[in-house]
Amino acid sequence: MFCAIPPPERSEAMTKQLALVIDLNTCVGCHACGAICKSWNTSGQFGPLTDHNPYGKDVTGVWFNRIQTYEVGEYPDVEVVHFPKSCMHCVDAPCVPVCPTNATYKREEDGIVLVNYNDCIGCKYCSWACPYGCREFDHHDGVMKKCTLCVDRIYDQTLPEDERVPACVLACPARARSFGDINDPESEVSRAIRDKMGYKLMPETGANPANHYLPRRKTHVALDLDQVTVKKQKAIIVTRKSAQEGETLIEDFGIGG
Amino acid sequence: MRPEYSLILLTVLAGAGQGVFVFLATGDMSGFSKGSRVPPMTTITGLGVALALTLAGMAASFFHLTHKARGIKAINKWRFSWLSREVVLLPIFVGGMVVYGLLYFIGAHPVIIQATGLAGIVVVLALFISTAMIYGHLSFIREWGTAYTPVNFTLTGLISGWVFGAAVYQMALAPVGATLFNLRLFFVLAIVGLVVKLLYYRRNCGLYSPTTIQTALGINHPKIRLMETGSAYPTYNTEEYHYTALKEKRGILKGVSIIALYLVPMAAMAWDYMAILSGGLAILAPVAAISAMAGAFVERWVFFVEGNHAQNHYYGNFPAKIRPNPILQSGKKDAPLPPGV
Ligand code: SF4
Ligand code: SF4
Ligand code: SF4
Repeated sequence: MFCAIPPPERSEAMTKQLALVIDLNTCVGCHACGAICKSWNTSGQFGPLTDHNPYGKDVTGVWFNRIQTYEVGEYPDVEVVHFPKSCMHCVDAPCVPVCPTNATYKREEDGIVLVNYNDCIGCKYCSWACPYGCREFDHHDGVMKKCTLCVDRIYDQTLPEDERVPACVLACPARARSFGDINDPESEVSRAIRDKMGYKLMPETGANPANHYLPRRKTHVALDLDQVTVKKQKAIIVTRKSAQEGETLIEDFGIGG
Repeated sequence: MRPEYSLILLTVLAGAGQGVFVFLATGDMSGFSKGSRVPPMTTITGLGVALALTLAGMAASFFHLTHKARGIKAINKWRFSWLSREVVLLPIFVGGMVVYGLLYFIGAHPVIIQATGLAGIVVVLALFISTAMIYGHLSFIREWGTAYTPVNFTLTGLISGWVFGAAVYQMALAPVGATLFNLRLFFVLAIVGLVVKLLYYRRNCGLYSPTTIQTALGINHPKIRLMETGSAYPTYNTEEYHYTALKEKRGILKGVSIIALYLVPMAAMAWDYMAILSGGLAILAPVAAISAMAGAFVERWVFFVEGNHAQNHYYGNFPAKIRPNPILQSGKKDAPLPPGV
């Protein structure tokens, strides 16, 4: 399954593959998507996501969407990256073929990977086979659970049309999450992947995840001082070194004048 | 990975049961070819031991399932899932053993018996491979995803079963010809098994993983540190895939398993072999059986806990000793790595 070169993109342009695209550049790490996911799914059609010891010590429970936070770089060149992760609805989902009972399956019509709770025997094999750790065992129900891509929302005709998207997409205050068909080149998600360099996690595992992430972006202005023709203007530069030392060393000098 | 005791019991006990069967089948074949067949009752007793071991393992694995009544559905995907194949092959093996025993019981023609034994050995090998490939095909658990896994499962099962079979032969005073042949085979199995195990442990010491925190997050920066797991308490992600008990002692446990699984049985069987040749008392096979069983349990426990799942990268639980491949890393500048910070 491991190969140095990622497998070629499938020519599946015709089939639908719904997915989430998560923008790490705008995600603020508020955990709203995780909380609404829990709230929607625990009160949804498929039964609650069980919590154990909810008001006691060592509380633990089933969540479909967890957010980690990482520090990238070293002070002072450091960025904090919040990283929400739910099932990637992989195109070549490794969790599907391993399931002995066929409880885990990938829907042909839209590519959503689901678990049939009535068939799952709780062997946990799929959770070992998922490279992303996106499956959660419900010890109370004894079955494996995971993000459903809100399949009970996105086709619900009783909801207003603009609300037929996953709960986490609606909830995100930073609009870091978008939802759509990544195989439709004109969809919002496909455009975002194209324009903002969307990428997949762990391409080397060959799982070919459908969810994509958009990287942090920085705007660099390449300015050559010789080309600046503005006259009699003052530029104020606070050097990083001085700010670090707590001094306010301000150099001001004129350009071109 | 967290060790699943029901699975350790299944793989060790059923593996030994399979080993006993292969022992009995080859024993009778060699006796048959030498014209001094093993008495049917000896083989039937041995089959009883094999059946008891296998059924005990199957019973243990049953406890692994939360929905036991649906267990039958696990045969649905035999074309894709190694677990499903194991579930299909286990009853075939058990049924085959019963048939094999019945053939002895009714005194079937020896050729039919040998043919059935041979077919049984094929089923046993397929079963060993199915059981091991459940773990062996998870290539991103680098400790498991290797050809060593099926080879090791097969050899461990054969070795631990072999000593049980030898104990049965000893107690039933089976003919010397068959016993000696099987004892010689034991040394082949044990030495190959030991070499494979040492190579396997050596491989796991200097393991490379193509998955790094960089590919896990898609952020191409050498310094990435986990700040928050997003949960104040342990979660499925931190409990199921990461196990720290006896972390410092695992090297010692490996040594214990090598002594108990290979060295002690080899010494005991060597004693027995010499005793048979010199007309002395060959009584150490049961000792070897107990020792090999204990060794196999420790070995399997270590196998489970040593697996490092790729998702541990997200939780800062991936050991630093598993490095990215330096050859791939050296070409990093040109490689199309995901864009990042
Ligand atoms: S992220 Fe994991 S659970 Fe989801 S489809 Fe991929 S392999 Fe399966
Ligand atoms: S835990 Fe359930 S869904 Fe997962 S592989 Fe086993 S039967 Fe299939
Ligand atoms: S798509 Fe639905 S189930 Fe999946 S993470 Fe978002 S809210 Fe949760």
